[in-house]
Amino acid sequence: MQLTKLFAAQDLLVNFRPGDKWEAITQMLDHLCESGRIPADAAEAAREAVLAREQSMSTGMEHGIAIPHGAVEGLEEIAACMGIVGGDEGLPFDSIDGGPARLIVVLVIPRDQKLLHIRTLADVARALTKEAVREALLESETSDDAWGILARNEAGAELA
Amino acid sequence: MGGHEQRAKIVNPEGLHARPCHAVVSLVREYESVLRIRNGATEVNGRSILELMTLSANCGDELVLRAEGEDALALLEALTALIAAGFIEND
Repeated sequence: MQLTKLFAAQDLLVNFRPGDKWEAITQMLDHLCESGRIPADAAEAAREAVLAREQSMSTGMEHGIAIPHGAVEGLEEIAACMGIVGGDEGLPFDSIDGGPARLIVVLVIPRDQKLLHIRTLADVARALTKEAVREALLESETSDDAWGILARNEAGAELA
Repeated sequence: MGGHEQRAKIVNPEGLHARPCHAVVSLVREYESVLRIRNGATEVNGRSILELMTLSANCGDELVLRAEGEDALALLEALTALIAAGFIEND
């Protein structure tokens, strides 16, 4: 799935400044619930699934990317948002490379859609392995700017 | 071209999602050898969890593992065992 379809502009949270990784995940899930992307009757299951997955093993990866995620029943389509961490320090995330997280992608995935799960992780990883995309997202001042970066990347534009 | 090559089929029902990618990278980082992993036309660095996720490998897909270095054979043996065991995952 293209990231411009996975995320609406409003799901790209610029200058995101949570106190720690758990607050980050909670705030992003709250955003998805408030915007209706996660229906009210799946909200608690989503929270439990994503937090339990994170507690079992950090989803902090490399290059400042973290992808907290979980699978739940009662969801028709994937719910996703991205926190673009403000400031220079990033957020400690127990990442595999030891670095702080700067781009946090929360994914809540319908439990019965295993192929969608793998494909969506691949699509997010494919975009964010590009340093130019990461840098441009971190410099975005508005959600619309950030969404425009994803759109330009999908159109094959070079991001300076 | 040097190095050793081995094939390994993904057997866990969930495929190569984030946790198996983490398990692979954690294992590979215990070795010195360079590792490339291919699924179909896509080949990536076996030390990068993000790159591994881009393989989008599902249950039944066969990966081609190519290692170069002094401990290449030991790495391939450990890695094929991990993949054959379904990454020993329970979720």
